[in-house]
Amino acid sequence: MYYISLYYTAFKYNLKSLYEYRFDFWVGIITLMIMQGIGLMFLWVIYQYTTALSGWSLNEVVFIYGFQQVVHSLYITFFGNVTGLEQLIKHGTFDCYLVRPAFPLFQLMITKLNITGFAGLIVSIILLVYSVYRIGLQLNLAKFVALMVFLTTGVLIYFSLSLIVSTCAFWLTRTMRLQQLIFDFSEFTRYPIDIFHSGLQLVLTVVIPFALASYYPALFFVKEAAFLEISLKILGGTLLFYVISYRFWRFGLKYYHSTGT
Amino acid sequence: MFGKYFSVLEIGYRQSVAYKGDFIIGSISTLFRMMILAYIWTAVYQNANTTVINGRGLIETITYIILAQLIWSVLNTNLEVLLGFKIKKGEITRDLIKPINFPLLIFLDNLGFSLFILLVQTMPAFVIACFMFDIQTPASILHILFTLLSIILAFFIYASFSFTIGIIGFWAQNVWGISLLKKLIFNTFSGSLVPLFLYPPMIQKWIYLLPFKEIINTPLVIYLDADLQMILSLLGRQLFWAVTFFILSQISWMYLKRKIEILGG
Repeated sequence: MYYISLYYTAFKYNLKSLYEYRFDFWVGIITLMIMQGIGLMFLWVIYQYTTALSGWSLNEVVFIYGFQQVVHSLYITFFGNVTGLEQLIKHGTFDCYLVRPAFPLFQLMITKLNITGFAGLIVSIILLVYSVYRIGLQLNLAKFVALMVFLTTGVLIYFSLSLIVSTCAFWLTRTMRLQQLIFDFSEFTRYPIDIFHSGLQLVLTVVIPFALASYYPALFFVKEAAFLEISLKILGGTLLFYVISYRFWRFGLKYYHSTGT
Repeated sequence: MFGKYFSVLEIGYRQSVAYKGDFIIGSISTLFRMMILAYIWTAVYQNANTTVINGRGLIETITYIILAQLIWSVLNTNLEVLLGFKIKKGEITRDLIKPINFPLLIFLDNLGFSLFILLVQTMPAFVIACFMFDIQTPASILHILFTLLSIILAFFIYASFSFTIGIIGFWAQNVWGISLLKKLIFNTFSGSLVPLFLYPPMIQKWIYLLPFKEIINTPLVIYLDADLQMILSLLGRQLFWAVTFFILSQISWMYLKRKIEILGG
């Protein structure tokens, strides 16, 4: 209850601070719309020469693309601040988090709502809804619940991977570039991963499992793959990575000694 | 005479060396971009069941894609951001009293940075990509030389354009948005994202009218298969755009210089 009220208060003030930068917000929206437009145009150009890529039609690929974008924007909006840990440690601000009466990780999450993430969320939701409509996907209650669950697990995957890299900041001085490197992998999962080398597919499923956050959900919704198998894969993988990242975070926290600045 | 300019180039290069680690990761990012695009178009050729799309085979396409990423990652520096920074922080006043041509200073600083990117970031990615994919070897030494010449012109075009954008950013208060827009436009219409010959013919017609193709498409067309006459006409066209953008950047620079003097520095 305490955490819910904390979250609510933080969310309220975060929204207010977004409103302060409404010009930036609109610039962000327009830029993202153009970027998404170019992304879609790229897919459209590809499908001028073929009707399917490894069995995926244009609208189905747009679904994967949209799903990945929604997950990514949700992550950036609500958890993107986790990547700022290196700055907090460097400037000594992290110590404030440790003395306040709430979990440090929770505080880290609620400190800031990311503007571009929020703008991207709106644009990418439109994209996903459009592709659902174009495929003619019938979303009954069960499927809708599954959609929400897989979006959540997707965000958790992004969050876990990001937390693992951020936690390295307890030992390394800079993690931003490493963060970028890991997230470069997510670009592969905007497309059906069948088209990539099988080794790469394995990496995207097991080592840096971004495929669990977009490709596998799409397998279930679009290709109507076996629900049980897919959901076991996704839920199991997400849980595993979440536990690993959280353990690692606790471990890093124990290791942390303030610089005293 | 040229000693001082050479030192600027060297400083641009040396400043970059300080962030070696960043470039290793930049190198992997470049490789990823090459891989994603190459895999996607391989799948397109396979699924389309043809060996030729719009007159080009798969090997030509892959060669184009990988070399395009190579050129793009070298050209794509933040010249306008550097310029915006110097104007905003007032650093420009210090540069102006130096006995150095300011646009040339920015240009050389940028060139030093690009050379470093080429060496440390792009070349390793390119070499690995060469092992992963089949790449068409150049037809002759002459083709390599002309391609290099064309890339140098491309660098000049892009730098002049960026310089002008940086000065526009001075009035727009913030260079970030306009810089991003510039990158998106170049990325889309230069051949960096999609080889221009792979756009549907009716769109190609329009894209070829724009000057953005000069920085990536033109060097690569020369590399792939142009004959001597065609090469010369392509280089001539590039030269035309280089001169045009250079004049544009000089005009905007002169205008800005006067503005700064009025403000009193």
